[in-house]
Amino acid sequence: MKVEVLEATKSKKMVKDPSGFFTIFVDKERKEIVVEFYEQVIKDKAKKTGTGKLGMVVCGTTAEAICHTIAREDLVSRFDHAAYLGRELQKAEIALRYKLEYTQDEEIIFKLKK
Amino acid sequence: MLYPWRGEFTVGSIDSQIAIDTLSSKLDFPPESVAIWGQHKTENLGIEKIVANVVSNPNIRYLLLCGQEVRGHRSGQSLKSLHANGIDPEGRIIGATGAVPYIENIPPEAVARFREQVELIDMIGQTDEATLQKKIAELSSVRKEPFGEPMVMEFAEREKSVQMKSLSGKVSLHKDLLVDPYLEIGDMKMEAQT
Repeated sequence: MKVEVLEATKSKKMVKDPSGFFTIFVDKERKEIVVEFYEQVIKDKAKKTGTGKLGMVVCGTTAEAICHTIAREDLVSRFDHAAYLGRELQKAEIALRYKLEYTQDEEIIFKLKK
Repeated sequence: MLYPWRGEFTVGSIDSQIAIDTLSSKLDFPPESVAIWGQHKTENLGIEKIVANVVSNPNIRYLLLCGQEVRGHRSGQSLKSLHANGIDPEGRIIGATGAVPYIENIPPEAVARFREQVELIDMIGQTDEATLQKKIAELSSVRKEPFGEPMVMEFAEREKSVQMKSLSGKVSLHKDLLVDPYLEIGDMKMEAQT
């Protein structure tokens, strides 16, 4: 059986999800991950830029539960967006669990044990 | 309720009259001297959170803007413009040079209240902690009266959009100003009546 083997490559262009976008942060005080979902609001049609209208907030302590909730609520319409969310939420969960700093779209900085 | 819109900020003293926006810089302050502080990345959603949280605490009378400006977004310049000029009928911050400086999630009344409630201290670019602490001490010594009551918010269920097939659980439903996105609807009504 021949199976194609592909070398993974990053897409050069990000395509916006028409459903909307998410902001993710860790609430250290309440010890949970907070995900805000915004519906796209286009302000400049030519440049296709805009802001967002807050539509839903999902809170939880695990990436799995948050991902399942987002999927149930149909908040994502693109596979690449769903995969991105999974990666970011897993980072947020690790940061929450191990008391690390989490900033969306940034690397987690791990402190090595001496 | 104080600071209804959660975010990546630190809460200090409820009685302090100083809030600090550190823009892209990570800075820390004595919690006994500052009401709330944190970074601020965007010229739209970030500004909305600041406004919503500031008007919820009438003790806050000074907003100190410091730290390094955010490239592209120009969040500091946009906040200064909002404070100086307000928004136009489309929600655009007048005079803002950021990429997408629009107010979408809070009503014009909140913006008007914000502009009146706080005096904006422009120290954009300043990251030296000693200099900033000197300014905090200076502002703390000029006591202002609290700005009346916390802003009264109206709550109304928002129409579901096409992609919002269900709205349940920890959800924010709002037409006007967001209150606490983590309260259930029943709680929101109770909150509004108190």
